[in-house]
Amino acid sequence: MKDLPDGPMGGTSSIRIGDLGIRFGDHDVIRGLSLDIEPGEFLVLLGPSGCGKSTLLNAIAGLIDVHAGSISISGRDVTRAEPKDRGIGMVFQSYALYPRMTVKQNMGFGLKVGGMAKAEIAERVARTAKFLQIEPLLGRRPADLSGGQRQRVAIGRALVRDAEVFLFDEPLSNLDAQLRADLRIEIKRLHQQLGSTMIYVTHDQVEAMTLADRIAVMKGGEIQQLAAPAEIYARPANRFVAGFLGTPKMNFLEGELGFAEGRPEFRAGGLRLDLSGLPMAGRAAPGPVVLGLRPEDLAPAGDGPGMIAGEVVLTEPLGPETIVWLRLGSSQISVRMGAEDFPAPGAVLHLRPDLSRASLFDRDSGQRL
Amino acid sequence: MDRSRLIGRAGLWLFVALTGVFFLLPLYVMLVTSLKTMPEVRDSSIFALPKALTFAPWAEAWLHACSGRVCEGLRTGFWNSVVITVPSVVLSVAIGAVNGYALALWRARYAEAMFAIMLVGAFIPYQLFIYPLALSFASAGLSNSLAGVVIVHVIFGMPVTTLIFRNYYSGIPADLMNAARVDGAGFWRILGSVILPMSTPIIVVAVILQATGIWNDYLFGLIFAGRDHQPMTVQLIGLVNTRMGERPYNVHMAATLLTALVPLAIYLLSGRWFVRGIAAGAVKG
Ligand SMILES: Nc1ncnc2c1ncn2[C@@H]1O[C@H](COP(=O)(O)OP(=O)(O)O)[C@@H](O)[C@H]1O
Ligand SMILES: [Mg+2]
Repeated sequence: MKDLPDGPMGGTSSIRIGDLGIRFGDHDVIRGLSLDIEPGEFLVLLGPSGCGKSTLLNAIAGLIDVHAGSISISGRDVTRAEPKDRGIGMVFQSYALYPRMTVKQNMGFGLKVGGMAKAEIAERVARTAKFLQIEPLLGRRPADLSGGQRQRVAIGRALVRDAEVFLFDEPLSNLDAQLRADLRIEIKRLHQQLGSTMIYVTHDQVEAMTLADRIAVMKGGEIQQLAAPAEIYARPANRFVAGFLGTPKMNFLEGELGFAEGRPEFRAGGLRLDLSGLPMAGRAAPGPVVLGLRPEDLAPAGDGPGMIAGEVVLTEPLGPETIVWLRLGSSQISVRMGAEDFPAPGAVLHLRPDLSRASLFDRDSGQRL
Repeated sequence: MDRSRLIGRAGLWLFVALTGVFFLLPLYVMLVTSLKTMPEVRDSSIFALPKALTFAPWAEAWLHACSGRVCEGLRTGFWNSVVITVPSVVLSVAIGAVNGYALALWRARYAEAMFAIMLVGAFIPYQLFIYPLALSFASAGLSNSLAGVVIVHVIFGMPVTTLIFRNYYSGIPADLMNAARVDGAGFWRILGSVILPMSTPIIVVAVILQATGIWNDYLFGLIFAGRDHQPMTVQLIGLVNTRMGERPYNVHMAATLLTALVPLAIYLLSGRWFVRGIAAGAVKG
């Protein structure tokens, strides 16, 4: 990507969503959702397919009607405004380029509809094309472009309108892995250079972790947690969030929280883990809990008290590291280990958990204690 | 190629050949008869080639043959048919395209119900509507007029054209519409700039279906067009049924062929497009 061209390519706006309700027929997809987005923020809506991410994004864009609540952009209430009057640019998963128009016409269409003079359209399209380095493609039709080129053009079409807010709906999911990684970096750089507010929908936690200032993890039309990626990773609000971020998933151990001589303790079968290093454990009431441990918070060690022992069932060497899977009673847990000195299947491995980094969830509600 | 494939192939060719004979034989008989003189028609087999080739029956059919008391051949009917067919096709295809677009791509309220009603409309035998329609047209002063017959063709063509366009447009992804709306385009702008340019194959299909259907129509032309705008088909029937002495079979055959020429030409010229349009979806790949 070239340096930022002269002149504004986009402003920055805050977005405020209050108590939003969206229903299709009598099916409530989103109910009472509130969300504030800072000017210039990169917010990622992350969640499994069907959880209402696109619905929320389309509502912000004005493409679907909301039945309750309000949406304002830059302090202006746009709940009932047309998409074109919201100062947004949007990029779609399927690119959604106009098939019978050239790249140049695709990019200029919005400006033309807006009644801009031909010369100015040409100038703006040229400037944006240069910025995205898609000048050689300007005369082509979408059918003659590769997937990556199409998505670049789609981004260009959103950029050319000098929008204040950019909305991305899974823009990379139709691309292969390598291209996805490349374009992910380009989008991040785009955000750094433009400084515009961006809302980015994805079901890919890697995209979410790498791009976001803040992630809103969604499930069933509700935001489960809204926080910076590191915070969500370290302190997930519930078991769903804990399981959704991180590969391999966080390990979950079911057991009881108890107190021995005033010290909090996790008990499961013969296993006793001292939780005094975990501030949240001291405040919680005794009862059934689930202990969550990331695969990197388990380190091989010798046998002894406070160790987790299991039989190695499978190893996955990934190059820089190896994922080792162990059987622990009826469940499986994963451990992140070095590239070379990992045990073979069949061996018994003793692990020392870093309990200061663990999470505790209520066993019934799944909420973080 | 193994045995059963061979038998299958042979069966297929036999079927094609039989179908060909079934459709081509009458055409052949009509063609040769129309090129014979009357004495020859009387004396020779209907399959025999003409001994003395003559184009007089064609000229007679086009210029002088009598339909009832008017002896001007089929040429006035031809032009009447053109004048009826062109606006009827243009209007019914245009309305079908707009309807199909609105039903498939704009989540209009009650779109499903409206579409269901239209489907019913497409399949109810239209003879049911003719009498009430004729009465209404009479009271609206539209009976026996060009406008009247065009309106009837448009009304009865619309369900099918709507169906054709709706099905084609339901293959268009919602995001394409969303992108155009974010770009600020409205209902008509999206139709004109985005959707219609993608519609050539299906427009061709709709035009062919409507043009042949309307050209071949007899009943509506007979009831609604009135004397001054009688289409070619109505004149043809009049011509064949007008008896003055011996039946001029050669002229009748020529007149029939003349009437069939337009749909025939449409099929021959656009067959390739037609097949492509029927097979094509809105989105490639
Ligand atoms: N136009 C629609 N009509 C009816 N239901 C819809 C419509 N669009 C989405 N839904 C439903 O709303 C839910 C959320 O969909 P969506 O926002 O597309 O999910 P996501 O983008 O997170 O995969 C799904 O259950 C889906 O079936
Ligand atoms: Mg989606």
